[in-house]
Amino acid sequence: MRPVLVVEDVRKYYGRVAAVDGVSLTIEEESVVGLIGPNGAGKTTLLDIISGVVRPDTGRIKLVTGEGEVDLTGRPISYITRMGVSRAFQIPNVFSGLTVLDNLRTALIASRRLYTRPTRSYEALPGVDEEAHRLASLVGLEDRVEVEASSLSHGERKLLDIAMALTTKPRVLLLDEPTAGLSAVEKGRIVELIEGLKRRGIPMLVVEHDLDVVFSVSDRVVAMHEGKVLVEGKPEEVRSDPRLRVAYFGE
Amino acid sequence: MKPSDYWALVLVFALLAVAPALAGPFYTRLLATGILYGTAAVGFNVLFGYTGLLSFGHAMFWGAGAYTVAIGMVKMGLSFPASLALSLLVVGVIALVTGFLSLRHTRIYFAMLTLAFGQLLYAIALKWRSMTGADEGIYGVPRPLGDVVLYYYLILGVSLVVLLALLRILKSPLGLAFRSIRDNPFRAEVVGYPVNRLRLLSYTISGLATGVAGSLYAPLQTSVNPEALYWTFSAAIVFMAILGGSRVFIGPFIGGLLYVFIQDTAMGVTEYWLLATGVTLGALILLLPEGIVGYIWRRLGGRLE
Ligand SMILES: Nc1ncnc2c1ncn2[C@@H]1O[C@H](COP(=O)(O)OP(=O)(O)O)[C@@H](O)[C@H]1O
Ligand SMILES: [Mg+2]
Repeated sequence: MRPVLVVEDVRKYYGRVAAVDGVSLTIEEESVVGLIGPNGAGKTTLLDIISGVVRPDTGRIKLVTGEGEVDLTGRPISYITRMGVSRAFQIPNVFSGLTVLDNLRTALIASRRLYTRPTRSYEALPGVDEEAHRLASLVGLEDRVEVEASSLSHGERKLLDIAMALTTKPRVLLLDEPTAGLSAVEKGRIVELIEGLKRRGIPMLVVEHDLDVVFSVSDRVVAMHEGKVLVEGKPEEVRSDPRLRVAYFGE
Repeated sequence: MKPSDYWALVLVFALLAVAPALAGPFYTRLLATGILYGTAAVGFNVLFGYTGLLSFGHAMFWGAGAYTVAIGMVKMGLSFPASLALSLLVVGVIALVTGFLSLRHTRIYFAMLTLAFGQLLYAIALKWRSMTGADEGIYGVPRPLGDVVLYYYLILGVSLVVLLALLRILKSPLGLAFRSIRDNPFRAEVVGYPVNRLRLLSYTISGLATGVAGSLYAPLQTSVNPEALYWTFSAAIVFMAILGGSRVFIGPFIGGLLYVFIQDTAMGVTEYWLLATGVTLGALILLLPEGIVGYIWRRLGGRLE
């Protein structure tokens, strides 16, 4: 399989804490990589580095496209997004003063670079509203489109955040604990969504605490501990690796 | 029926169009000043209310517009339209340069930088005697169409064009981009907006609108002096926007109209009119944080942006 995203030996220190301490990993075409590890292992920091939110102290991030390799290291966040690396947040991060529909519209307008279109109304952009409604129903928010995001429940905000990440037609999708804090119904919807995206061949890096979810959706699993990759391999190999128990529960 | 930005604008301008028939020359001139203040405040609010950046230096655009038109007409012998075009150019360049430098920061540091640039321009106007007439300013700026009432209609027409253009921009995808940046600049960056460039664009549009209003002010007064650039006028613009309400398009415009009349009345009854406006602002923020128009708008079932 051809690689799509390559992370090479990245490191990030916060003072003397090595949040990420020399991690390399590759996400291949049409594959899902599950990223697990106890709290504080450095999973979110790794996503921050890939999406350009945090600049690594060392190491490189490369995106492989049809036209060749693109070095994403140190590039602006908006550039990385427009290159097709899309991200949803562990703590849902949406435009709380805008309606659900406007959240999706603005994300579509940004990623499609329609923001300088001199259209009379942003509500009348061809294709945008259809896509916004499609994404809203994809995550089950079709009845909530006119609601301001600040009045959504935690779970709904999480769903909206994920839907916004899908507005870019991502080449790679980074999901940070997509089911955390969701109800059983919402959780089921997200697992279904991830499986649907996987069938469509969208490569994903999924950080997830629910190990049943991770082991069922992932083609490969990477377990991190204290900033380093501890175990890596097929789900069944990682699941039975004794080092994993040590990382999660101590000796 | 919910209130609409377009209809509110049409209604207000229709009333302003008949006003000179009822008001004498004194009040017509006062209203003309109010229209210009209001237009300047709506321009300011593109940046403040819609993009979430508080400028404390908008007098710099107002004053630069007023001075450029005065210099163009008095010192360079240009026609009014040519002076206005020159003024747009000058204001645009000032906006791009000061915006580029100030927008490295947001929040209070941004406000302080815009204040500093405003004061820098004020200092230049005070010192550059041959060009600006120093503290005396420039006198004898010809008023196009001569008569105050005719000029009033020119002001009304140009202001309407400026406001319609701003409203159109704010309803377009760019307006949604500005509001997204106001709401959550980090998320805006993550969905793919080039946040810094869009902030500079908003700043420049905002400065140009305020600059046009200032440009029309010099011929109305037939003079300009450094007060047009002084920081207290920057503060007055902030006041107008909050007085009317920064979350409704027409809010700051009404704020500008009200401000002129508050100032005129307060100046007539007390020498402490600055104190009086200060107390009004304080009371208003405590009692009606969404501004006068914002309050009415919400009562009528309108949505605050
Ligand atoms: N902005 C920050 N400043 C200081 N320390 C941080 C910061 N972000 C993360 N850390 C630290 O880095 C380590 C990894 O955190 P994080 O990447 O959030 O882990 P995970 O997502 O695996 O729970 C933790 O020890 C955390 O306290
Ligand atoms: Mg985390």
